[in-house]
Amino acid sequence: MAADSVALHRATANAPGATRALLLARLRRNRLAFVGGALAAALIALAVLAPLIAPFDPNALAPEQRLLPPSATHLFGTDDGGRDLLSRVIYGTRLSLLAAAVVLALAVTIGTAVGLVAGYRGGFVDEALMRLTDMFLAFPALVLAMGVSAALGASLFNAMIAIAVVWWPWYARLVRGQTMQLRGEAFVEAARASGADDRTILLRHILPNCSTPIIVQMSLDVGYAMLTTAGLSFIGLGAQPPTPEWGSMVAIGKDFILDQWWFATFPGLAILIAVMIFNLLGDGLQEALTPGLRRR
Amino acid sequence: MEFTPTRRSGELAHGRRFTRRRLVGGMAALGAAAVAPGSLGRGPALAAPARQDGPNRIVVASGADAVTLDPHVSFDGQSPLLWRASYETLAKYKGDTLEIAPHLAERIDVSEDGLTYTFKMRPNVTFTDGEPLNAAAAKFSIERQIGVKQGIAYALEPVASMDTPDPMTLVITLSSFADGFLSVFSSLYSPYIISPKAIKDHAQGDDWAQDWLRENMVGTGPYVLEGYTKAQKAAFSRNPNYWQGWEGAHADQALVAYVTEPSSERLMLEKGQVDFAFFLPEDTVEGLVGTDGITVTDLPSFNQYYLALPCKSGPTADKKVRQAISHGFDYQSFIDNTMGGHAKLARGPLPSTFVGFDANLPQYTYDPAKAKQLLAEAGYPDGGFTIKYTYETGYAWKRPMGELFQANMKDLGIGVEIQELTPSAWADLLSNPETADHAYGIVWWPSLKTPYDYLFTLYATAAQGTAGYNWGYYSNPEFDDLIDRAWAEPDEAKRVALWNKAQQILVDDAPALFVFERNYRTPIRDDVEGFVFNGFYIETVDWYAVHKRS
Repeated sequence: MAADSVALHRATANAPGATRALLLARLRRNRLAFVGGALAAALIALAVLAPLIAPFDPNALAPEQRLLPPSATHLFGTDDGGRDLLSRVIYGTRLSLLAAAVVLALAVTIGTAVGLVAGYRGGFVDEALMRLTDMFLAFPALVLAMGVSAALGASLFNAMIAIAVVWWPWYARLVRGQTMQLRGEAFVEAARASGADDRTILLRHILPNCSTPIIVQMSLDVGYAMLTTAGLSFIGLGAQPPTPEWGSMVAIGKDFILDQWWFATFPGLAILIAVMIFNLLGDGLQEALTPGLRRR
Repeated sequence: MEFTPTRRSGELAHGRRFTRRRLVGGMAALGAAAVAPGSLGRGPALAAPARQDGPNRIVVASGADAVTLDPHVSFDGQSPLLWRASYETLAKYKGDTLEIAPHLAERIDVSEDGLTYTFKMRPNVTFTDGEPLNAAAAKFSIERQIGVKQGIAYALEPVASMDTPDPMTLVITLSSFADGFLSVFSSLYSPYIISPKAIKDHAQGDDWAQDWLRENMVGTGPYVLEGYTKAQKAAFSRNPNYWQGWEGAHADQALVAYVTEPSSERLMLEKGQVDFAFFLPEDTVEGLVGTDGITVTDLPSFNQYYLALPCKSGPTADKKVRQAISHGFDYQSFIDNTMGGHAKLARGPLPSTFVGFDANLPQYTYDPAKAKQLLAEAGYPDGGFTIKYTYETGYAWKRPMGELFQANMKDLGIGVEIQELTPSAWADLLSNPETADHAYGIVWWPSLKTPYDYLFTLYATAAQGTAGYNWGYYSNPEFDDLIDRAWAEPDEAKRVALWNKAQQILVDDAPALFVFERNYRTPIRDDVEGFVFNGFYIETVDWYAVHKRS
């Protein structure tokens, strides 16, 4: 009896791992996910290798070269401080990806923890945590992020925290739903019967089985997190000058749009492309990892 | 000290204070605008083409909304444009000069000792509610100005008594001499003359009708307010009984359009939908130079631009360090590049165009070697400290100034942390001595014709915190004493000597970098006539004088 349940426990614990090969195969077959993944990898490479790729120091002020149109030397032209826009856009990739990573790491950690506890415990704990979540969801995301960011003081790091604060409830809901479904499953019952404590059950049995929707959601959210960060910087609540952040570059560049179109255009395009890449990846992953979706 | 200005500095010079904040809402409104044209401040009245056979109409585009219609209670930069349509002052600056000429008063006599001011009121002037203008009316408006304790009220503190020996004569007596006192009655912020009946009829308790006058105007001016939609537009039509009459060329209608985006404002000017574009950033103005149908004026102003340093704490509390920093900023690069050459290196705290300017003051120039030497003498041979620089959203020149400051200071081993804040957060941070230890860009232009206006407001100990704009918390008792004495000194030669001495101390103490003075550039449609620029009246027009060429 005891031996049997241990075996069962192992098998279920390995369940996600066992299907991993299957998932990868499915992923490879999905063109959308594949293209998105490749482009996202390229973007990450651009960010990591920025110092090698960027032709100029993104912050080197050269006022006598201000507002030069795109040329062979400055492919994207220069900004109002004479800084090379191409280099600034490339370095901007770093900040945007970093911001997205920090936002999602924070949001997923908080959201998952809340969701797991709420979904697993149920009852009063669930009620309390979900009402708290609802409170956060009741505000329009950008408005709440603006408020938090303004209260903390404008900086890129504070903007990341602000966005994480408005982002975690989505993960809390997602994980709670999954957890409620999973907690009645046989393998969870079995684990409990074999003497596993709540912590073990949550972290080793339920969490791994929630990971697929979390990953899909995250890949979709990378783009939105980048967009929101840029949005906060655009209204002056994020990165501070002269940080090469896309949103703040567009904000400054927009005042020059009638004469120096390149100033706002290239950072704006960078935002557009980066967000599209991660949407592509997210959609692809969702399609590949959620078989039900494909049947539609 | 009785001189306590409460103006938001620089609100006027680049009063586009809310542009970016508005933009958030603007993005959402963009969709709505497609369905409801005119919802973004382009009312049907403004959609008219440039050339028209209809009424002679002057439209001024302003970057940000007026704060109040009450001319006695605000020091903001946008409201005077409206005040000047419906209200008038006892005196005026003549053309583009600093010379003060009578206006609602037909004669002004100042006694030998400068203590008695006699205003002989102009006869046959009526308010738009039919009340006659007389000495009692003028006196009542000045009393209201003093009573509301806002706006320019502080400058009337030397007033000891006001008498009306006959119905058309107002005699103001001062308790002590005050330099530039007459300019209280000619400046942009002034006790404009309001109908005494309107004030009495609408007063609630002792509020001097502040509630009512916030939204209503009853003056003697050439135009009457027809309609005002906040943040969209204000429309004025002719006052048929205006005392100067309507002979000659004058506009039939006077309109103000509020356009928060500089690019939209510029496009409206290019298309001829507006005749003046105010509060545009320098680069946007530059883009308009040479545009068909548009003239960009280029005339000396009284604006002085500073980069103030924290004088109270940190390494910059040492005047040697401040001198070093004053030698470490590349003024010429800023003037040539960011300002496009339309500026001039400042010499001391006053612009060269203004009274009290001292051409013999030493001038800081960009000299990194000297800066390093001074830093070494102060005990910071390799810099090794950080200064915070903060600026508020909406000021096109403050960010580039901070960025250049950052780059220049890096050469001296000094770090500069830049932070952008909303205008109110910026003012809160700096006006609180507990939180302020920042360098910041600031512009000043005078509300009174005296050096005291700049020197007290920006550098006196009594003007620290919320009492003025000395937000670097500079304090030198000798300087304070000199400017107080100069302000009250009736003898001109002695006064000038005292002003000069005070300025020398200021330059030596270097509480701020005296960065530049500049010409003011106002983009105007070619078919506008009658516009005269005066640095005291920036970002406003003399509505009676401007009109379209017919």
